[in-house]
Amino acid sequence: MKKEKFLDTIPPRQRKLYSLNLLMAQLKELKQQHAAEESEQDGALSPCRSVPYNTKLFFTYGLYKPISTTLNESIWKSIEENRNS
Amino acid sequence: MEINRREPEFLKNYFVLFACCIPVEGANRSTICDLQRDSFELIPNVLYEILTEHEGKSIGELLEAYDHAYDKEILEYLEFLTEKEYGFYSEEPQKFPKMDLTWYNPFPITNAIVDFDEKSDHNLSDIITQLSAMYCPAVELRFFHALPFSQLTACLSLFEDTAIRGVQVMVRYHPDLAPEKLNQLANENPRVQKILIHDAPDGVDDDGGAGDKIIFLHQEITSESCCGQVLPHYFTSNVASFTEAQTFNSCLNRKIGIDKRGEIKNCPSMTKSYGQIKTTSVKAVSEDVNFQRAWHLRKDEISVCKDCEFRYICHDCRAYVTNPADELSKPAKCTYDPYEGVW
Ligand code: SF4
Ligand code: SF4
Repeated sequence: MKKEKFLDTIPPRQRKLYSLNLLMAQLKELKQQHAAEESEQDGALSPCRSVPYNTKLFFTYGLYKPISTTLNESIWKSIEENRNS
Repeated sequence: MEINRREPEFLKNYFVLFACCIPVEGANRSTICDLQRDSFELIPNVLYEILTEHEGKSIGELLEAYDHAYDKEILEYLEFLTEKEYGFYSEEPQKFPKMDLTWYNPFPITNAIVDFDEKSDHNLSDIITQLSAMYCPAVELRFFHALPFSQLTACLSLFEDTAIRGVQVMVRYHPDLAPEKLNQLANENPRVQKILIHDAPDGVDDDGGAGDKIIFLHQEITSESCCGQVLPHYFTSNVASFTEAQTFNSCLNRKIGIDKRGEIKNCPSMTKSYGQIKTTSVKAVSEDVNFQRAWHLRKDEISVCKDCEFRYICHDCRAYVTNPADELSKPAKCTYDPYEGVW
């Protein structure tokens, strides 16, 4: 059976955003055990994180630092309150 | 098997910090910056001394260096660092070289801020074309006025087919900017990292339905003068930012700022303009040695910051400084006192 390529899963408009290697990569079916784990979470994939190292640096398009710093302490507080509520 | 910390065999070991965990000394306390986990740990200066001045000594030699007066404390410190995964014991420390702290980046410009208000008449399309031609990977658009959804969509569509990889937007609230529409817009434009809507009335997006990329703020961002905040929220502890801060300014290095009147500057808040975007090319400005001077103002040279344990993870500000006559004075909006260790 022909395996699906990553290329086939994304809209043509967006293809130029990805490297050729990634586009040509073939998709593998998830192993049973992984599939079961996922269905437990209602199929939702959790955000990228490396559990042993608690690494969060997986942003695909992010700069490695803030570009500007316009939010003051009180704005940050209210953002955090909203996130927690 | 339990390790006996007093065993002669154990004392032959060396304590080695992971290469990505780098101690930085401050006036009153120090940090270990963990460049892999994007975090830092505050440590006492004496531990900094143990980790740096006595580096290369076995644990036995280290205890001896303090005349065995603090054996218990030193062993506890090392245990703390091992438990927190900052380091490990080894008989062959020479096999774990330090990280090269040279900053490498292929882009002539790494980021740009473009400001607008209702009176702005600079052409975003032209700016994006110029930035893309320089492979600038990240752009922040700051609209201090309200934009309807159609105009915001039009602005973002200008990034299609460009070399710009990430876009952040800050825009004043407009009744047309509904959370669901913005969420869809962000999802359809993978370059969009964040859309921040300021001056939003109460009740908008109270249920958080707009998704993670969209942030509604009730506070108003009136102008570029709101920038320059120095807060731990903005600290970045990763290889790229840490190594950049060793030799370059952590905010202005390879940055282009275009203010709301279209003036090209190191950042929109700086006073010196290097030309009007309508008549001057961004590339020409970025290659000007005078323009590049600000890129080299390192934290190690800045008053107060040079004694601060956060100096390589802190986002600097050169536009708002405590003494405008001194380009190397401390950022005005930083309330941290490294001599007391208090914010
Ligand atoms: S120099 Fe200051 S005002 Fe300018 S972008 Fe950096 S933090 Fe903002
Ligand atoms: S003193 Fe300087 S390095 Fe330290 S937090 Fe403030 S601005 Fe950053």
